[in-house]
Amino acid sequence: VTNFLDQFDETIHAPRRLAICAFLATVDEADFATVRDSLSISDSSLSKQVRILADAGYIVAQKVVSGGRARSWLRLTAGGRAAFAAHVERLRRILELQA
Amino acid sequence: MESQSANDAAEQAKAVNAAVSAAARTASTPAWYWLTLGALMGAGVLGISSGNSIAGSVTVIVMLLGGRFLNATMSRSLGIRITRVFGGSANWTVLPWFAGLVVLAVLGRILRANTGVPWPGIVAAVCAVPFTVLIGTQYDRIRLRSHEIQPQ
Repeated sequence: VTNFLDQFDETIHAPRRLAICAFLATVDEADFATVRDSLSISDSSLSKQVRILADAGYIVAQKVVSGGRARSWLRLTAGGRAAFAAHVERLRRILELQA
Repeated sequence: MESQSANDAAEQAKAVNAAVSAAARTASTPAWYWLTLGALMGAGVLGISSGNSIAGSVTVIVMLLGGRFLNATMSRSLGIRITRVFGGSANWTVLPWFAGLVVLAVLGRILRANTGVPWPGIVAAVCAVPFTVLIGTQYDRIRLRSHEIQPQ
């Protein structure tokens, strides 16, 4: 348990980024508005967190114009999925140790 | 330090569970998707089990185009994309589903050829619908729950 703080991923650890990763882990891709509404995050906050995750290579944001309307699709990269899975696995281990 | 880490982990687990619950509320695949996909698969099984190469080819094309249209419709209405069956790289979770559909089509074909009546093919096609709904809903459940951290 004591080395948890040394092991966790700083990029994913922040609560909003963790929630975004957890949501995106359940889908192949999700629309920006769907993530925003599902997690009750503001546009600006989601944009900011997505940018941080994208800079870390964990998320890809792709703008697609469909029916004259631009939509931003968010997707966890393979690296992002692996980092999130590792983070969740560490949390599970810690909680098991505490149980 | 140890209890701080444990508390931190518990808070993180809550955040993960809340996000997965949100996904379950807003990103669950609707029943109409699985039913329509089941109907498409049923049509494919019926076409293949008929033994007629033209009917088989036409229904497979209808199945693939219908699947693509269905996925596009769902991604527009729900704002998520979940299946790569018709959209790109295959996912291993679809293998038992495809294997089951192939078994239904082959059984339908053999029984139809042996008995000389079309009913086995029709029964196999009808069975493909609940089979797809069952596999689909289980796939959805696993998709949503596998990331959840059970509260201690």
